[in-house]
Amino acid sequence: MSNKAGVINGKEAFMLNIANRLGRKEPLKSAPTNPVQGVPDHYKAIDLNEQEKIELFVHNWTALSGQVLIVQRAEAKATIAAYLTKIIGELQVTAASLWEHVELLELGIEQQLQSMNINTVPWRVMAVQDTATDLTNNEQSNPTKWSARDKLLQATERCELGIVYPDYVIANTSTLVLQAGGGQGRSVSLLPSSLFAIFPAERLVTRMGEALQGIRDTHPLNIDYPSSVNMITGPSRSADIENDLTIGVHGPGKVYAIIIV
Amino acid sequence: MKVSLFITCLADQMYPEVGESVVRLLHQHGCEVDFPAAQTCCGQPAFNSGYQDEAREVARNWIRAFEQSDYIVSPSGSCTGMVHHYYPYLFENEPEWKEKAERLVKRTYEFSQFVVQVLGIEDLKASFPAEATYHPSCHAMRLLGVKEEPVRLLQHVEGLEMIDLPHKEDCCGFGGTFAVKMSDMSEAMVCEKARHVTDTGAEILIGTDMGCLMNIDGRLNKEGRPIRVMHLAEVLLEGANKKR
Amino acid sequence: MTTIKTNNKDKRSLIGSGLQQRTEDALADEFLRKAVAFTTDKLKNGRLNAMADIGDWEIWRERGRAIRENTISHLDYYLTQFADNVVNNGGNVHFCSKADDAVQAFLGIAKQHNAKLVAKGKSMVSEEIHLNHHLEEHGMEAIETDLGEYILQLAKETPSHLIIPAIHKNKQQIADLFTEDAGYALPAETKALATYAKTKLRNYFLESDIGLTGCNFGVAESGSISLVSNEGNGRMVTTLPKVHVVIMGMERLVPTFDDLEVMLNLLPRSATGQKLTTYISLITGPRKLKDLDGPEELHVIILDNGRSAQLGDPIFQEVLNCIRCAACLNVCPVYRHVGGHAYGSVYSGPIGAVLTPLIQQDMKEAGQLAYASSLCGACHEACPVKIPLHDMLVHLRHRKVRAKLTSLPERFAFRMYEFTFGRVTLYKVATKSAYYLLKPLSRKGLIHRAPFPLSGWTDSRTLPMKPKQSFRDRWSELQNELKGGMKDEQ
Repeated sequence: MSNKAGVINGKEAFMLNIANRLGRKEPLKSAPTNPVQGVPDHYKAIDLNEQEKIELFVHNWTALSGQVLIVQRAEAKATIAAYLTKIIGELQVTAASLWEHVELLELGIEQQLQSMNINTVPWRVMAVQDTATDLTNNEQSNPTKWSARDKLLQATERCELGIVYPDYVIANTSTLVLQAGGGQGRSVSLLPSSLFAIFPAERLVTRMGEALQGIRDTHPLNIDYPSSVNMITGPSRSADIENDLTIGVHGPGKVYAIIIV
Repeated sequence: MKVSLFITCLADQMYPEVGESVVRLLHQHGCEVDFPAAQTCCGQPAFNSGYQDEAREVARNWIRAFEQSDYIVSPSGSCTGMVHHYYPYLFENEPEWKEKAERLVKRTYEFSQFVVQVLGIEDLKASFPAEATYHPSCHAMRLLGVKEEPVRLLQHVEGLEMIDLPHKEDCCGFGGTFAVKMSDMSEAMVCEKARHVTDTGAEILIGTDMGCLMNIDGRLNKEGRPIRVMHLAEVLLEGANKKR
Repeated sequence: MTTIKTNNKDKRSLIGSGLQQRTEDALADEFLRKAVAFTTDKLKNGRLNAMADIGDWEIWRERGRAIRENTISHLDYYLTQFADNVVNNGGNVHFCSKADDAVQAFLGIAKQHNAKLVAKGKSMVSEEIHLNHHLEEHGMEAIETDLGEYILQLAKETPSHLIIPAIHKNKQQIADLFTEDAGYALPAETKALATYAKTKLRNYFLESDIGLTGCNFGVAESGSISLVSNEGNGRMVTTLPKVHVVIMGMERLVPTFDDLEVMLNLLPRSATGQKLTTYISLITGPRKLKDLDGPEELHVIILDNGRSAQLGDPIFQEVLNCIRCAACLNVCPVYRHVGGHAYGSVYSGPIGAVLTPLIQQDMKEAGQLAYASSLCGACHEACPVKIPLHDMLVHLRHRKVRAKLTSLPERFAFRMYEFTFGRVTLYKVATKSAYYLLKPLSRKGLIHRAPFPLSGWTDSRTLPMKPKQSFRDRWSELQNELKGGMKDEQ
């Protein structure tokens, strides 16, 4: 369902000024012929097969200190469960957030986490009983604005691990493309300090334009276009302190890609 | 082949030997060199300071001086760049003069550009055993696209060992009136350039623009560095004479 | 690094005291100069590697230029399309001609929501309009969440680089700032300092009423806003607070997603050498009904503030093509030696030197910046959308002359130059006189000290004495020698 239209202020005079300065009596109404659009042809023509895309992704992702695991489809559930266990142990994860996604459901991720006694926060509206507060004493006596916010957000914020199933993955920049909406929460790939991205190799595209085109094709009307698309290329980083690289600032510092072949 | 020398006011007044080197070399390679006596300056000093009307009149004199020339060759990438890059703009509102300017632009070359592209020569049969380093001038590189030609000419000089200049594409800080107007800034830039030159250990600094070379040489002198600063044409002529 | 001694120098300035003083101050700061040189070299090399990595860079640049040129020449169309799409998707658009209009628009939004805390992603435009200052005046707290900007906020300073704003601060200085902020001692060690900032800012993300960002590229076809960042603060402030306000220059658009792909290939590579920044957020309207997170309200403030004055100008319209990558800063030899503060403006380096006088419509004070260049052209060479900044600087100097803002002695000097150098007879007289004027100053063929303004040269360099005979004096002799049967063999 689309949003209600918003308000626009001051358009007429502003736009007329621009038109006048560009030598027109009034703003241009018909689309300009735009001869140069998009990436160069030679770049568009680059055609990689799935194996090449996998290799390209892995090469770029690991160069950014991302971890990769390639799993066979037939054993995906078991392999991923084992890997999850290992990493959760290493990172000492106590709470994990995950997209409410049919593929993650099939892989049994939520059950796996629960079986490990990890506080599991699937991205769906929390039932009242799930919102049992575990506020600290300090938070109870000094209620913050945050503590009055949505319970799901608060629970996600306390997770150390977020698990997503990217809609597209761009090989030539090792980029996860995550559309927001429904069970695909923005916060899952943002608030926890580590990120698991599970995806089948078929979702790999060579370049960004293919992902953008895909989203456009599946949402031809602007009002349906996802309100948020996040493209994530490696762990969060900064070199603002005397050019010294810090990995893991506000977004996840440890990123894992699990490719199902 | 008839070639007119565009001496540039700087070489005319301060470095006549550079002009002489260019003339002798072109003559040695079959060119009949003339010197249109009405020439003075290309107008760049005024233009770069924002005085376009004044620059235009000086440019007009240049066009008149070289109107009959087949080829116009100059020992300066900067001055040649001025003609190429800004003359058509300067005469935008005077179609007759704009057309003259455009015609002359096609015939105007910086020295190394002319030797390599028009004469088609890279080996000037020179011998000059020494360790040298080369500073490419900003305007030659970026206004004219002259990057390879000087290097190729130097590569063929027997015995000349070229040492790569660190940060060679960094401006030396001359910039014409910039050197005096923003003198602190210019000083910082030329000090760094001089340091890079000195660090190479070269005995000779070679360039294609006397503005740059006067600037760097001035600093090297101040620092008491015994590095010889030469225009490309001087190196080639001295080398050619040595060989014969 | 050679320290520039300014003690014995003639203090008169040929460019204007503001720029002169700031230049001197910067040149005297050893740490700054080392930091700026190190950072710009690193970023420049990053860019060169990234260019080689993707290949055919000239083809990409030309595409970038063509796309931006098309956008700006039809800005009335694309901006309308963009704004209409933002609004149809539930966002609100505020068109603001002047800086103050934008401030008022923001204050209006803040008041509507009784906002007390604003978390800011990096936004040059917000600094251009001095938004933080106004927010404080109205009892609001604005927190810079970009790490470099946060450091500067504590230091109460302005950025010295477009992309890495606090390069002029060393670890000890940052530690001191954080220690004062924390109330307990923090070591001058990256990990500890980063952790402190991370924890402190996290709390702000959770508590803020409004998230404020800029916009790297608006996409007209969908009314989307794209933001690039590495730290994740851009994502935080556009996900957690209930209200997201975007403040953007009116020129920051591309027509389609296809064009966005081109710009996102050019921007990170030109800025830092990365293939892509860690995060690219594409925001289209506020949250949808089925979203369980995301802002409930989106406002886009579109600012003119002197930009439209460049439209229709055959020389300066192109300055609006800029994508704010700072590649020009990283190759500029002037910037390299003095850093951003010397420019006295939010926008520094070559783009700052051109943009500031234009959008402030001030050729007098800001116009001094037109002289902060040796016209080497490196900026144009590095620009991913081929803006001829070096030409624009020369044209700005022309504007200064036309506005009669240059000094009388200078105007006179160039009139004399035209008069004498415009005709060979007078040229010869003038240059002969110069010989006699300079002679007394020279010793053994060199001039070591000359009077003002040439003292600017001789303070740090020798000047060769002009030879008595010019080339043209020797020409007839040379010509005779070459003609008179002395055939040089080849």
